[in-house]
Amino acid sequence: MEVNVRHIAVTGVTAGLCLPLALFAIILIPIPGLPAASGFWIPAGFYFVLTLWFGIWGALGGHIATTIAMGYFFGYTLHVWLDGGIGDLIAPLVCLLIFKLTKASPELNTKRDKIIWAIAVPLSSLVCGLWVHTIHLLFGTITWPFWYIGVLTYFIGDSLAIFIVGTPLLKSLTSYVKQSPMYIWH
Amino acid sequence: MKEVPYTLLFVLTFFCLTSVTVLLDFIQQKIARKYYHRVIEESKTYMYIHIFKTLAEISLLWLIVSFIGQVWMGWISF
Repeated sequence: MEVNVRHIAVTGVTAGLCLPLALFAIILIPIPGLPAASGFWIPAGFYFVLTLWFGIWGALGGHIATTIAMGYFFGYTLHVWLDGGIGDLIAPLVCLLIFKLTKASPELNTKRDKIIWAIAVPLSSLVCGLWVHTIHLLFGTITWPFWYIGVLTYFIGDSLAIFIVGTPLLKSLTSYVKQSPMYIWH
Repeated sequence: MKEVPYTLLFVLTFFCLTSVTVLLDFIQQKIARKYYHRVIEESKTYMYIHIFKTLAEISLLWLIVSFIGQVWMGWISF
């Protein structure tokens, strides 16, 4: 895999953008009883889009941002922030995988692309929610009732933010990003 | 009449101007779309700047909303 300054810059800028968003999403819309959870996970709207454009480099930026937001600023244990951070790395990659398998385009020009986007986003958020809260449950960080609330929160909170922020971003900016050598759909 | 605290006045003025600047930039982007495409064809660096500037502008709007939300909920007071 080729790595150059552009890849690192994209990851760095993505992390820099998502970090304050993650921080204030947790502060503003916290879910009582669930560590580092938010009812409107706005950074996902950004790193999902950047992952669909730039692949792993966008996902890595989101992962670094959410890991630092959960760990450094909130002082949760290593387990909590690593678990959440890895969940946020898996989710956009699941979405990317669905797009790759179905050969959908991030431009969302066709009805088929839009349907795939509408299915891929909640599915990816669900995978993320299941991952994070099952690990929490296995480590005894949360109890059973909170597992359901957590999975549902991630499913709704992430999907909502991705649809509201990510959809207009994909529709309006993909035509520019297509001209980048880093765009993964050439 | 209740006086508006100076810090609140300053922050809100700053937020208003930031929002207006961002909205004007979005309108400018829409109007000059075809010219952007032309410049981007010549310079890829411009494309990255354009993309990340737009993302940063949306982040700014969210941070303004989250600040007002925190004031509204009483977590930040003046």
